[in-house]
Amino acid sequence: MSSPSPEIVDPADLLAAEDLELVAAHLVDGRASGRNLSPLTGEGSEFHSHREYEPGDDLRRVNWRLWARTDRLYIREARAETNLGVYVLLDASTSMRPGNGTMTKWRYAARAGAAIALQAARALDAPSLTLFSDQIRSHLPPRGGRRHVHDLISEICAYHPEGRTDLGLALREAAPLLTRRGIVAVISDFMDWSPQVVPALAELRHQGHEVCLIQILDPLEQCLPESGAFVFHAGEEPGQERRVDGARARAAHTAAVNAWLGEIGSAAAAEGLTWLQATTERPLGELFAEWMDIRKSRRGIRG
Amino acid sequence: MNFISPPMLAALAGLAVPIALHLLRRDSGIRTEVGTLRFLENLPTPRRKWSVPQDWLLLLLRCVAAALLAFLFARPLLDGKRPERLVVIDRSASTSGDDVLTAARRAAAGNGSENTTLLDLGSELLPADPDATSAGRADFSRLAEWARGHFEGRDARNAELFVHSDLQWSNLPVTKPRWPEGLKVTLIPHVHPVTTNIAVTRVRLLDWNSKTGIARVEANWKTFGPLPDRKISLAFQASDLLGTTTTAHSPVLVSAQLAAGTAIAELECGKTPMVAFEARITDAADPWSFDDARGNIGRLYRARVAIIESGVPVSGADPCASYFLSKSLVAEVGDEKAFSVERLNTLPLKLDGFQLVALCNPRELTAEQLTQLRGFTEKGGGLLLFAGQTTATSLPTQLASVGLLPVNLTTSPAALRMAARWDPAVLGSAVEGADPADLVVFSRFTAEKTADTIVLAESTDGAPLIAAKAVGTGRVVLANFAPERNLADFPLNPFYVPIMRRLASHAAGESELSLGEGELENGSGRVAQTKGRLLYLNPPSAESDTRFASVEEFSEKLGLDLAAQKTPAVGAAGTEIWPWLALGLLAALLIESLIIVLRKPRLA
Repeated sequence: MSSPSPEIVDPADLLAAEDLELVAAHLVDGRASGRNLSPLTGEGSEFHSHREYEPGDDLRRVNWRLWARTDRLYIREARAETNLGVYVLLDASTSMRPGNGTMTKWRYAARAGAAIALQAARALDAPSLTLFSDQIRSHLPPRGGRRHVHDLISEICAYHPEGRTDLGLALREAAPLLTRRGIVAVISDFMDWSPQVVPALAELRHQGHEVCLIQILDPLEQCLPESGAFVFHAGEEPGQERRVDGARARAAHTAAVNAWLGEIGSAAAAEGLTWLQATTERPLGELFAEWMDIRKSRRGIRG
Repeated sequence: MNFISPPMLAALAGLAVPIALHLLRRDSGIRTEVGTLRFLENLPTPRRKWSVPQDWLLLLLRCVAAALLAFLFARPLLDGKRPERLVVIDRSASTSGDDVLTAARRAAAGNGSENTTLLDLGSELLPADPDATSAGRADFSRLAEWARGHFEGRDARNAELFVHSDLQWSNLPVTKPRWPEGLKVTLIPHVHPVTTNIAVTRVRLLDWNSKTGIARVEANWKTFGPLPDRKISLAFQASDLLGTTTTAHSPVLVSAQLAAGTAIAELECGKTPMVAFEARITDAADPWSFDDARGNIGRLYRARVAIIESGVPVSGADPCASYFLSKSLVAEVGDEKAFSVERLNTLPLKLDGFQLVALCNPRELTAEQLTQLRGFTEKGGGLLLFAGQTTATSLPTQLASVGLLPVNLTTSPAALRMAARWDPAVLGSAVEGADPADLVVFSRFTAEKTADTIVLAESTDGAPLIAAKAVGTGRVVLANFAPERNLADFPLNPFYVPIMRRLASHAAGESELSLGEGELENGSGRVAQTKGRLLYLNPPSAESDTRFASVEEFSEKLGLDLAAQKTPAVGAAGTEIWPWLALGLLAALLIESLIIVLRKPRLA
């Protein structure tokens, strides 16, 4: 097992893959958001088993006939998503290094990716991990089992963001690796977003995957501070820097960023992609809760 | 506002540092990494430093902090006065030379400011008097004693003492004086050019012919310092108790070749029993000018006598009983005295420290005074009584009532009495030239012996002329005659002085009193008794010693901290406000830090 990357794990904590697992488990169990992430998977039409009703379960899954017989509520558990592939495409480029909030974008993304993988494994699905920058850096094919999750998380921990971003190229390289239908979670800052990226994403959608774009930004990237002078530099643009007066540039910067975000959001909506946007200050549980709500509403729409 | 260390205000120049930094330093801003710079194109850049209001505040805070730091080192005083300054001018005799005193007064005026006291230091410490001349010695022990009293209960660290002195060795005290704690004493030397002084070192009676009344007196003299090119002579003078003086001059001495020498002169002194002989250096060109400066020699007293005489002037112009008695008791060699005599108009409240009380023509005594005398005598004190011309007639009764009268005295017409016999052990033997026939006096009282009477001298009619009585561990001696010459020529008798001294010694219980070589602090002196005549000998002149000390030597002898003299002035009276300045400095730095922290990027 490779040693974990210190950028992911809190320096005060034990630097081990289990740490990220704990975090992921914490998220998955709903202790962070107060909501169980199990609806993330497990939705389907193939009956698997009954379990006793718990408050919050979808009433449409209640087996009313069984209630009539037993006078007790039971939920039909579907087995349709068993062995569903859950693909985590994690941006591991240099642009993921900044961290002016509570943590770096990479760390935030790593936590999100680990949580998704862990939940998938618990739901008897097969998580997969693909690390990319301007190309595929690492790929773990979908597989079930706790040990695979452990290896997956260790792979994340061992990685240090580097390289330029080329999302379009990475997606095109990753597409053949996504062998079974499933959920594709692209976790990135989408700094190199361009109209050329949309076709690659659309292709994944057309392959039958449910695609979710999880865009993670640093708080300063989304909104400049109200005051202060800053000298910004970017890892993927070496030798360049911009001196900015926060108070005077804030409005213009915010407008530009919002326009860009709006562009991404519109493109995602047009292609039927789920788009989640957050800064590293936003609790991950809240992000996942939003995702669940979106998925839930979509299933509701589909009827 | 005043400052303890005003030179530290130069640190205000440090205000230039934050100003310069603010003007020169480019505000580089906070370096921050982001994912891309494309959203930061063409955005407004930071303005120049001085146009940002927040930076003005930082500049002001930093300037305030620098100013507070400078003030902190300067140690300001609120409502403070300048340091208390004491400026003392050495007015000893040596400063008259070469206008040293004038220069010292001029320099002392430069030390003056508000809260300054000018003092003259001689044998006493007096307010400065610009018209006063040099005299005597400068008593630094007295100065230290005065300073201790002046600063008693006060902090002497808020004061400065400047002493303008020629630092003559002879002015140094024998023991180091004790100065007030923390007082900064600075010696300011006023150096003499090389000077020379010539002084008489000893006067000696070589021979005195009692028949002719001619005395041969020898004087030794010595030059201190380089040999001058002057012609000098010695002036001799003999003066008796009646104020009669005779003078003589030695031959002219060529001083240029002599560092020391001796001169002899013959003086006609008559037959009076007490003669003072003096010799002084005179300028041969002006024989009547006297250059000698006489100083003090240590005192030696063997008995302390209080002579009580009421209602008469204490003056040498009109000699009275107590005057005669005191002169006879005092044998001065320089300042060596066999008796320490105090002439008083009334009995002192306390007789502690006295060995003998002599009553010369006293008035009536109160009951308390009688009780006091009784107690004094019982504890070993001596009482010497004279039944003089103006003795109160009731006094004998008073003294008898407390058992202090050796005989019974009754008033009677004045009668001439002559001593027939006396106790040689007390009054002297024939070998010493004592002759009872010399004691011829008039007396106003008739004396009768009592059971306790000890007759020391008996008149021809068998009555006690001089009697004594033991009282406790003390003694009372009564002389049935006056000590002055109103009723007799006894004081002019050559034997008058010895008798007076013996009576006093016997009454005081100092039977072993001997005269001769005295123990003196400086110089040398002798008391010589030739045929009952006492001599004054010219003391060595301490002021003739022209040696001067350095500031370091003088400071060490005076027990001064030489290092302290080189440090800046001490603090001034007033309230130090440095704690508030430190607090202000801390507050300025805290606010500055707070502003910097708050300027860090804040999330939307």
